[in-house]
Amino acid sequence: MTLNEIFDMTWIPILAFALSFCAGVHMLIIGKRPPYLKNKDDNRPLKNEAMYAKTGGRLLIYFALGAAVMCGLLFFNLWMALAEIVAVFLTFSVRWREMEEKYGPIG
Amino acid sequence: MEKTTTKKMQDFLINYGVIIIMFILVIYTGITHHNFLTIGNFNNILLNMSSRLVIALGIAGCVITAGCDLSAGRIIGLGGCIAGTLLQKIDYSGKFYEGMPPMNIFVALLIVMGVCGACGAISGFFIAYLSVPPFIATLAMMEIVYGGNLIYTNATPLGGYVDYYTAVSTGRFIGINYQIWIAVIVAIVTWFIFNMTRHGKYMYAIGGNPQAAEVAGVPVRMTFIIIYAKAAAMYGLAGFMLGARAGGASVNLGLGYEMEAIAACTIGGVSVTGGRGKVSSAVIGVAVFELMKAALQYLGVDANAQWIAIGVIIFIAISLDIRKYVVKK
Repeated sequence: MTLNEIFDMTWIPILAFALSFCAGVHMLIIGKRPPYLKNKDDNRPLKNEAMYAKTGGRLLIYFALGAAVMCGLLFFNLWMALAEIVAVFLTFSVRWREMEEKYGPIG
Repeated sequence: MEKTTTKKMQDFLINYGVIIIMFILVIYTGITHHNFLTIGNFNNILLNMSSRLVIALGIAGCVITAGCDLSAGRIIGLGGCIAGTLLQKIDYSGKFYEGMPPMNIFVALLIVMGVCGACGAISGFFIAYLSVPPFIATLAMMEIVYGGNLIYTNATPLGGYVDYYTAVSTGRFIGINYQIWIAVIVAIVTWFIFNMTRHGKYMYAIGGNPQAAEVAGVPVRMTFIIIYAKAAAMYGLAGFMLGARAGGASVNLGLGYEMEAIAACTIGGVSVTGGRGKVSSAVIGVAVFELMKAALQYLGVDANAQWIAIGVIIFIAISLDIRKYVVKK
């Protein structure tokens, strides 16, 4: 397999990994909700901003790692790759929702 | 505070600068290349515009609610591939479903739009009910659709289409290509939805302020699902049109089209910050974008450098749009 063929197959999970990993690390570093993850006029205070940022950052990194694993699985079994990313996204979404309820905006 | 004429002029130039520059480029190309401003070339540009307008009208709904849809390109590919597998000639050697006669074109289109719409509805569900940010939800859907399409097609390109499918791209009605008619009809229907229906009002309300919209009784969650489902169905239609035009499809059909569509919407006046945008904005934006690409081709700009030009335009258009919002704030 040439480098071009490898990149053709994996550029989407690589992109997903890069975007979500950067967003996750950004959240962990700044310790608050970044503007690109909230509605523009939503200035409601969070119940616990520090925990929101910590949990959110970790969840985004988890999603990024899921994308990276999908990248590898694409070379072995497409069904496994698809099942893996679906499972990762489902768990990510449920945990994100829980985080929003526990530490998210008041009101 | 009353704006002076100079300030108004300044604001106009900054806000519409991208469109002005592009028109200057088009006029310059028309003057220096005698066959640029011809009916044949105009027809070609309209044909290129038709599928991109359908995509832009779909994505406009997401952008109006201050969201985005990174999965558009992949859903276009999925739509093109599903249409391709259902509309192959029965005697084609590489037929996907061996022995299956080619389907009725309208039934195939309904299946394409239904499947793609379902993908959009799933994205909308995660955004609305699980509060996943749109860029993450659609990023995940992009991967899922890509993986699903790879499995469905086994990563093999499709071809051998029936004549009545490729006729969608070559056929004409009253001298106008069918694809242009499809784009016009979609634009009219979208205009009606945006301006004459409750759903359209809800969209703008959510884009303006989702919390206020919810308090006012707008069914925010269901509206989000409908917006993303509708958008995805339109991407499926665009994939159907692109497949007919190309005479073939692969998983890479529609690659990168979502960024062009978002840029076209922004150039035309749909705000990425939400709450603002019309069908005419998408039409103007797509027209300007396609004219610019055609002009760059005629000017002999290297095909690879055109990507840079498109990227720069996207960058400037979105920066100017955000500037408008910051100034207003």
